[in-house]
Amino acid sequence: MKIKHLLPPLFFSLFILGCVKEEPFVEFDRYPNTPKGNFQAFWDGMSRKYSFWGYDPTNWDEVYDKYVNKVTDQTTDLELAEIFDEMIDGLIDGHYEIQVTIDTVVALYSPGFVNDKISNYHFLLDDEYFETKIFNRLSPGTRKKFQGFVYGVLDNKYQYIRIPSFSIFKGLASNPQFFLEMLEFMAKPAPQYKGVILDLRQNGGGIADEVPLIVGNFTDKELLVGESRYKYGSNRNEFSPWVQQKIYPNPKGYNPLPVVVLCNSLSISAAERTTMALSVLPQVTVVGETTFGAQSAVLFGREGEDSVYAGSFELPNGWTVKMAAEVYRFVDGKLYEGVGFTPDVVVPFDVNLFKSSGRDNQLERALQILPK
Amino acid sequence: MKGIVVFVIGLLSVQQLCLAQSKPAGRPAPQKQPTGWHVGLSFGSINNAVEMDFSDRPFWRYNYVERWQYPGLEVHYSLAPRVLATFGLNVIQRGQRVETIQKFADYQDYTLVRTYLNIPVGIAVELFDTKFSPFVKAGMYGAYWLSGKWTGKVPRILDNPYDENYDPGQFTSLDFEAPYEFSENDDTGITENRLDFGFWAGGGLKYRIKSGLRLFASFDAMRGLSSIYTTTREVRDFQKRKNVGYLLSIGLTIPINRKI
Repeated sequence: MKIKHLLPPLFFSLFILGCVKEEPFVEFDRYPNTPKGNFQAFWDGMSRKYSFWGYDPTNWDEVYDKYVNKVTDQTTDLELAEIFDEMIDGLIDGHYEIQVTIDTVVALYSPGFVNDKISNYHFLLDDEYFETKIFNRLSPGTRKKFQGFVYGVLDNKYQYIRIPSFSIFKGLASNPQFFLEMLEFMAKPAPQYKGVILDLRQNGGGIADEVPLIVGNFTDKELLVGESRYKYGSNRNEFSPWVQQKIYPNPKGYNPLPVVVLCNSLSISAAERTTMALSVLPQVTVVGETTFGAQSAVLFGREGEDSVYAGSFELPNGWTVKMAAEVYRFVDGKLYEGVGFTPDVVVPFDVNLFKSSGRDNQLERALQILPK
Repeated sequence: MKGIVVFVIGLLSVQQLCLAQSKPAGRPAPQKQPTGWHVGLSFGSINNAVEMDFSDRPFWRYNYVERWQYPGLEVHYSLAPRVLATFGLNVIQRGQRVETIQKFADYQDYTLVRTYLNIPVGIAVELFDTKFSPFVKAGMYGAYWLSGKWTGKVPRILDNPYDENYDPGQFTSLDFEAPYEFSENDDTGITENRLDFGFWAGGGLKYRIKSGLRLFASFDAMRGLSSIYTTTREVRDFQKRKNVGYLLSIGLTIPINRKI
């Protein structure tokens, strides 16, 4: 399988978390900037920094043996990129990508973006759909929208909130009134409301801390949502112990209503973490399709620098490898990285229905589940 | 191993020399010190690390950890007036501290404390037949890794945005404390050795008071003979990761089966 994506470098969700000290990056200085040197640096960097060894079925030693002799000093950049693409085929890290620059072209190689996750129908569910068709269904006087975010009251009794990305903190800075009111709307339901639809379809993720910002509205007590571990050394098996991940309730509001979370295969990263965290709650039903499969966080400093040892590294030729710095497993003890989280109620999107009549069968199913 | 044998022979030679110097010509040396069996307790503080080679890994630093040798059994047998065979049975903590440095500093570190059932055996030679006497000693230890405990910090992925001190621009860490789980799977080619063998050598000062009761303080250097890991393939320096440490201990023994 060869999958090459020419995508904007920041298409993927990034967990942007704080700043780091500026120090020279010296770990890979010993490799020469030659095809062979870059191959060795890539293989060694993966050995040291990839977080899923022990879970990933890829045998990295066999990968080395298979490809080491295919790289010579005459190997072109494009050939080397193709070899790397074959080497990473099958890695489970959903955030994984190699950013390759050849001349002026930037290409991202990512095993996570397999074709069946980007079916054509997803492009029907764009911001315009949510900001027009769904927005128009919400009660005037309750509905608001801003840059893909949409909320309001549906059918006079359901709270509908569509979150297109986890960029709420950024939104709070640029449009505080909209986002403060949206958070208030989520946390303090009116007495006549019967349920909540949290629409996380087409949500590419974003800031990790916004997961508890959402989930904290729907729990009145500390919520265990899984465990994480991290690379704790540069050998392949060196990891921290599993450390519990908890979400704390919003002290200023609690929404006890039944919730349906809508998700699909382009619900990525923080959107998946939110979906999974909410699914722990008894009043929540997850509806839609299996999520993307990139729940373990990428950690970057605010200026795009690495902040922890695991995760990203750069090759001598300037190509960068970005990957998760955390391994997240759900409260059931299972890893959903690479495979995605399956909803309680699986409802494949009906493209033909949508195209012919504009009906959104996933949203309709959500409304059937909520109390009348 | 060869070095230890040489060291022990050296100790015995020193002892023989001291005996020879203390014997007045033509008369046997007075036997002031109780011989036979002595039993007692000792405990101490250990400064331990796992020796690692991180010469090509600039972002990690490995440090010593101070922990304890809990009060344990101390048995001595006088082989000769100032030569003791020593035997111990105690619980000792060994550990190491690992932290990220340079650009990755501040968000990741851990201290792993490993608790062993420890059996040191050796020979001690008192240099003088006086109440106060320095002594030297050396021997071997065998230890069984009973349990372990991690403490440390990891990057905090899900912060609490409802905390009044929360700063969305601040990257924080999360403290943890967890029991250490021994690696049972070998998909990484590495398993931990529950048994650890090594040697120790050191010296100290003893104080003998009436009735043959003996107080002592000693300082030992200890070194594992083999890695605390077994690897089924070459995994960097894992084959070389040995316990190294220093033990400062005090103890007390009383004579039994006393012969003066």
